[in-house]
Amino acid sequence: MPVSAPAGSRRGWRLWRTTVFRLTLAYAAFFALAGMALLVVILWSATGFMTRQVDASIAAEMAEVMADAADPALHGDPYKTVIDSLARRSPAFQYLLQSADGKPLAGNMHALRPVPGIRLMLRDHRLGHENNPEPTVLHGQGRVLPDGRFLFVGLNVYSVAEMRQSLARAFLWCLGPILALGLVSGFLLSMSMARKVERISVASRAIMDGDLSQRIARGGGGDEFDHLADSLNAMLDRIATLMLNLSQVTNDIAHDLRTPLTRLRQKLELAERDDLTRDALREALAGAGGELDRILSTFSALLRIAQIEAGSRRAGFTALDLRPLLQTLHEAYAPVAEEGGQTMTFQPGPLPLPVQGDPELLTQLVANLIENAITHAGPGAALALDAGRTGERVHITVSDTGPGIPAGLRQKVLQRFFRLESSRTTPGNGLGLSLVAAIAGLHDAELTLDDNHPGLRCTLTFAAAVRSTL
Amino acid sequence: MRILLIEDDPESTAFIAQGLGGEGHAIDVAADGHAGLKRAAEDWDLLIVDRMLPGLDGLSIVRRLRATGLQAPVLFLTTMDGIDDRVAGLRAGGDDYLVKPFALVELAARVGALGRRAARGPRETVLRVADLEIDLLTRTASRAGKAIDLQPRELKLLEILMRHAGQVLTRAMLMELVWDFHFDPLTNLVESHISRLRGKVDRGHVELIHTVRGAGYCLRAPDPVAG
Repeated sequence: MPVSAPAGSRRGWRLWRTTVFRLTLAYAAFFALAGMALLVVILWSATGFMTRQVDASIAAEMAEVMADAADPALHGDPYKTVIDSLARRSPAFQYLLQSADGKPLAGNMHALRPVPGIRLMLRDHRLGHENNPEPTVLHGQGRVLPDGRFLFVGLNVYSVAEMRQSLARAFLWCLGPILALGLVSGFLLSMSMARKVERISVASRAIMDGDLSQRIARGGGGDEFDHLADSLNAMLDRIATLMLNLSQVTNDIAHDLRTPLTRLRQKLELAERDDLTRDALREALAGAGGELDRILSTFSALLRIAQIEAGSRRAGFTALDLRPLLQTLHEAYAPVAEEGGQTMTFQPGPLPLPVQGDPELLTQLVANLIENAITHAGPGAALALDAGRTGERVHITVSDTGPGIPAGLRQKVLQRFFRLESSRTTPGNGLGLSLVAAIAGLHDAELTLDDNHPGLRCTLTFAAAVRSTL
Repeated sequence: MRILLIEDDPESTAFIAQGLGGEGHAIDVAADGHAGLKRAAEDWDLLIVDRMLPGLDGLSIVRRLRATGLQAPVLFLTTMDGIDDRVAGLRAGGDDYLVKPFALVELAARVGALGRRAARGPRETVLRVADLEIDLLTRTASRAGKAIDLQPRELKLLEILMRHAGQVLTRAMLMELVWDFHFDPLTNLVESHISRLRGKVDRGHVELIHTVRGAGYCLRAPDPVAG
């Protein structure tokens, strides 16, 4: 077991390091900054717009004051008259007329410094403001009259400032939740991701610790993690099959070699006895040699299968016609079958049988099928070697009328060392059909075992051959 | 026969030297590739070459020897039993290929066959052993002047046996020479064919085709004293 820190602290620490969490943090920061920028732009444009409106109404009011004061019908001081009347009628505006020496002459304001132009004042200059709790920000326009007096028209723009402040406050209030939401969702997202990844790594560690039956659980949502889990599980299935195969083959090798090794040992032990005649000794030694030969042939068969399965031989493939090859095999094996009380027919069909392959290996493949039929079909059986072509696909069939193989075991007989119980007494190492399967695989040919009613029918079908000159 | 064995494993060397020495051959040994190449230029009836050697590998040795025009037969003896290895060995100029571990009878038989091949002159068209005769041009055989009806492959088997008359041919050798089969049969393939041939050639006559127990078969003229 790997040494691990307490799970909690480790997980907390790891959270900061998850990609998702970092991404979420970055996005939250990005959105906060974007929000701030938006706020600034909105404030700037809204304030500018309002200020322009205020400026315009103040300018209009100032123009009106000037126009009213120019009315020749007015008596006395026209400015004073106009301001007094306006201050009474329009309480929204602030008016001031003060003498050149700074004394208020008319209006609803205290004295101001006589600065011409637009100005903004935070100090309250309204008359009676002490009794008016409403805060004020005065925006106005001053003008020095030709006689040296100072005229001012202003507007309380406190509401504009207040709106600007509340806008800013609202944005700042939103910023918190944005960040908080970002953090929380990032946390949740990374937790869920971490959980999914953790599922995979827990399963992987369990497998590393030796439990090859472990599989990665699917979340069930069909998301990309499920997809990954499916792929990994498929890989694990394949590995498990291979491991099982490997351990089974190892087991079988050990078992299968133990029998001849035991017999070898017995024979050598017998040979050691003192009372043995010279001939008996020689026989015991010859028997021992025979057992050794069996062991060695098992090994070379295994090596050969492994070599063929490695597939390097494919480089040596040539285009060949199977007919002469099958002809030779028939000639070679027909007498063997007849000696065992069997018959063997050969029907190659009228067409050439072009395939890409290795003649030596294909010869061995068909020879193994024939020998299999001869050894297992029993006396009196009829063996048939057929070949033909359906379209571009060449096939070879070796069939017999012997006891056959039960349907459930037909795939098993292709495995290394698998032998039907009935064939234990006949010669063979249980590798013949494995070798056939390996050679067929090398040639991309399909090997099928069927019921011949009665007996066994082995069919080898080659993939559609590349057009050749044969 | 004078045989040069190029082999680096002392145990194999001792085994082969003792085994073949018992058959009446004279064995010299070279224990590495370069020594082997140098000594191979001497006059030998046969070279037995391991493929994996220190210094220079067996394939290269034989390739160089063949390039210099050396005619002596070469038998490769090797643990390399890859499917392509035998072909590579024969292509390099080897005459036969035997995979370790091997039975001494197998080696002795192959050595005998190779030595015999080297000693033979131009290919005869008529082979004769005692009163058995085959004509390779007309593809006919006769025993004591009476024609024997043989299938093409039976004629081939008989031809091989007669070419190696007096020599032991193992089952594996017959598989290779007659059918070009390079595998170990589970059935008694060779025995069946030999028994058929015997039925046609030897029935009613003095036996020419003999079984050599634990080794193979041998076609030879009857011993004049016993016959």
